[in-house]
Amino acid sequence: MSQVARRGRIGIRFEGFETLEEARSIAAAAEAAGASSVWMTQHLGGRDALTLAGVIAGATRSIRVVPSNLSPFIAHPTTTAMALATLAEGVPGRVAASVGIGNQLDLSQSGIATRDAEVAVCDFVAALERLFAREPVHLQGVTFRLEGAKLTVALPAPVPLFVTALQPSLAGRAGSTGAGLQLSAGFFPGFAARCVQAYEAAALAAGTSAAAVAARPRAAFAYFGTDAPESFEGVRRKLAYLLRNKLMAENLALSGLAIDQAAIIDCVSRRDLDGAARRVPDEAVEAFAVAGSLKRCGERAEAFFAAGIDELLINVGSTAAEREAALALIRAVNG
Amino acid sequence: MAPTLGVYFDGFSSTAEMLEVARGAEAAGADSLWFAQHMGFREAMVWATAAVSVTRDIRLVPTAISPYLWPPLPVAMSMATLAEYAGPRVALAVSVGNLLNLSESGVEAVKPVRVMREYVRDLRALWAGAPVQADAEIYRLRGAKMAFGQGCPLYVASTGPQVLRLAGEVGDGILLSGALTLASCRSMLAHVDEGMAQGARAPGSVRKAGFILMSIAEDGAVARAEMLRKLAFLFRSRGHATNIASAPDLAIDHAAIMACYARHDPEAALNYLPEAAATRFAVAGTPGECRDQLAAYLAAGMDEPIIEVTGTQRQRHLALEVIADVTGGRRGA
Repeated sequence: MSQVARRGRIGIRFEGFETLEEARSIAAAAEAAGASSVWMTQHLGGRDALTLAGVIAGATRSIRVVPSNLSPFIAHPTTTAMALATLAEGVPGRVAASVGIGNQLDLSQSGIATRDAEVAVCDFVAALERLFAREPVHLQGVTFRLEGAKLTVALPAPVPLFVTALQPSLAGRAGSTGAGLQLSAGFFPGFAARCVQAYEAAALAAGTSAAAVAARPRAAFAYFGTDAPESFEGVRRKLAYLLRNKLMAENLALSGLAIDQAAIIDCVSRRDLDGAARRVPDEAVEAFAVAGSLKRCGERAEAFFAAGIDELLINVGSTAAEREAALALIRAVNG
Repeated sequence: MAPTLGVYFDGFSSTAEMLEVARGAEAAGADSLWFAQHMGFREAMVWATAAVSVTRDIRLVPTAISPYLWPPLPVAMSMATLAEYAGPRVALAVSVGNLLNLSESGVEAVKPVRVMREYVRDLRALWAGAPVQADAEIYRLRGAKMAFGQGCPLYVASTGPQVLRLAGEVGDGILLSGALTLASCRSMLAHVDEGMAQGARAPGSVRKAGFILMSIAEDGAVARAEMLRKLAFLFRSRGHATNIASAPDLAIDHAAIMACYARHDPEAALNYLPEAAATRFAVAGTPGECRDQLAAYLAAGMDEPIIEVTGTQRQRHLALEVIADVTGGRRGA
């Protein structure tokens, strides 16, 4: 099923470290360029994704806003459902959300250990879906217990939910829920395809029809850069930091590139990001990101679409040139 | 100098109505907008964010955020984001929260005084920007750190003596709930003063805010009848016992009201509330009566009385007119 190329679109994402002035300006420009949606990742210590979603919704006209990677380990389903419903009431039909484990280092700094993490994510999605139905909910999750909690605010339109996956195993669990799939940044398209396959297989095994499975949304984050040396290097450094995660081992192996992940981990642990970046070759930047000329970026986007992704979410970059290039890519792909 | 007056939203009305009232309240001269968090209803941070775009400089206060449901780091992030968007006109009110609603979300409000003290301390520490270490009663911080932004004034909301004393000791302000008699307000503010003395706080350094229920109509009897329904709902809680006892001449059978709600019969509860309750626990009546009753609350020692603007479009208009009268409408239309 995922071998069939889907008509893909490009949206943008924020990581919560941009100023609000920048974010509002970029979102408005992206909307004008035809971007499909704006995602805002919850990074602990950065700008709050739900609040940022409200800011961006107010700065745009019709584009969808998606607070993402909301973690069951630090958010409660009742309050999250309230926030999403309140957002949706203000901008009907324009709100979605994704639920993910969250960054384990960041969570540990809030004294939180992520036990049974994949189950916790799916529990949280189930709780949100049931709260959205506006019935009293009785549900025991890994990270919460609902004993009659009820959402009173009616959703004016559905709020689609996604699961943020870093591994095929969580993608598979996501398939057994009603949620869409959202993959983290830094994936090789072949690894994205493997996650999509796990997602689809689980959905089919859960009794979802093939047509319904095919219609479910699958999004992926990707780092974006131009062919300007400083932009390309910027992507390399982001990837170096990302690839320190041991969960990326399968992703790296599938690429077929000779990358010494142990050396990258060692460098990052010593806060030697320059050293880590030196261990990420140009081929890896091209394989794990959407970087290079406009033509090359378009090809990389198509590779993700061929892997079964229907929405690719790029960070728009930090310079005016990068932003212009990102908007050009959005216009070229989305038409 | 004309007194200040704020407006609060309980989260029960639509977002469109809230935005309309927010805009009107600022134009009428209101000083602040308070977005009360009631579980299952509109979320306070999201509403405060939405209100930024329809107002200019009125203060925005997400209200009664509970540490039992919101860990400190996400709250620090939300408020810093809101402050970046709105500028220095934001504040935050924190409170233990409604025990019944907390229990429905699987949360027990253990050791509230300690928890509130730690929450205020750690929110401020996070906003200071350094990595925070804390072994608090209901959370741990192991180097959590804010990457941006700034903090805001913190109000502590309560009606209980211990937390009120704590509020006077550590808060930038305190917030009283609605449906209180003037006697209850004075008694609670005395607890705040005790806390201020304990914390060696300078007079005037702790803002004293309070919600005041208000029902307004051209027909005062209609307004009072509507207020009795609100009071009956609030008095289903055992927590109002002392407050109700502060009006002994009204002979309100609190136990009977709670029993009516326990058997889901709110209409019957109205039989136990005399009409006079509408003006002893709240402000209710014609615009002129409401102005007079508000003056009594203003004289009770509150720095920031905060009223509601609800009901029909006509009632909301009347309430905004009262605000303009009381404040002198200094923001202009």
